[in-house]
Amino acid sequence: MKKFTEIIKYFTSITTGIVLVFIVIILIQGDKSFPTKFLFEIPCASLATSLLTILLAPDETSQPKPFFLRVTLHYIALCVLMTVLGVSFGWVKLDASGILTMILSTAGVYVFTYAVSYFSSMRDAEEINSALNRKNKK
Amino acid sequence: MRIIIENPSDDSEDEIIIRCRELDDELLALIYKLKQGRNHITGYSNKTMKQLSPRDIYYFESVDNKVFAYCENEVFEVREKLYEIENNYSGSDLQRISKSVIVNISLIEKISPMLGSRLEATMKNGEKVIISRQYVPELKKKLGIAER
Repeated sequence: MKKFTEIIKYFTSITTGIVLVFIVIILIQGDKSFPTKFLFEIPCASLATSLLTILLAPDETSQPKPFFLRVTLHYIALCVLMTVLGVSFGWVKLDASGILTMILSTAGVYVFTYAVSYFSSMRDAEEINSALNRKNKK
Repeated sequence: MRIIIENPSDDSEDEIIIRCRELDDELLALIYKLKQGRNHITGYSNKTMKQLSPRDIYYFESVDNKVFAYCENEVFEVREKLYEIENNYSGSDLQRISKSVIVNISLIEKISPMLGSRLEATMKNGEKVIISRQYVPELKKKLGIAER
C-alpha cells in the first residue's frame, strides 16, 4: 500500500511536469494544437517513469556522494526511457535534435518534480517542528 | 489532579499507585515513561560496560550488522538489534526514521527539508540524521500530527 501511494504521488507530479513541458514546447513551436493521443501517451510515460523512479530513486543513502551518484544514474535512465517512449509515440525523431529535446524535457520534468517534493518536505518539516515545540513545552 | 507523596515503611519497597477513572493516552505515556526510566540498555565501549538510559540516547544506528547507541558525546555498541529496540521501547520517544536509524524524538532540535522527499533531523548535540520519506508518516503519527 505504501509503494502504491508513492507511485501515485510520483505519477501525479510527473504527469503535471510532462504536461507543463509539452505546453512550453508547443508555445515555442507556435503550434496551438494539443493532439488527443497525448491524453493516453502522457499517462503511459508518467507510469513508466514512476515505476523506474521507485526502483532507482535514492532515499536511504545519507552520504552526499552516493546520493548524487544515484541521482545521476536515475536521470540517465529516465532520459533513455523517455527517448525510447518519445520516439515510439512520435513525439521526436531519433536524431540529435530529438534526443536533445528529450534530454532537456526530462531535465525540466525532473526539476519540477524535485521542486514539488522539496516544497512538500518543507511543509512536513514545519508541521513536525511545531509538534516538537508543543511536545517540549509540556 | 492531586499528587501525593508518602514515605513507605522501612520493610516495603517504593511503589507508585495511579488512581484514575479512565486510563487515557496521556496516562499511558506517563506510565510508560516511569517504567522506561528503570529500563536501561547495556552499552559497550573500549572493553568497558555502561548502563544507558534510553532518555539519554540520541539515536541508534545499525552499521555492518552492529548497533551503536549515540549519546551526547559518546558512542556505545549495544547487543540488541534495531527491531528489538523498536519493539521494547515502542511507547517511548524512540522512533525509527530509516532502515538503519532509531532516533530519540525528545532530543531533536529541529527538522529541515532535503532533496528527494527526505528530512534532516538536527539533534540537540548538533549531530544530523536523515529521516527517510517512508518513515515520515509514522513520525508524524507519533507526534500526533493529523494526516492531510
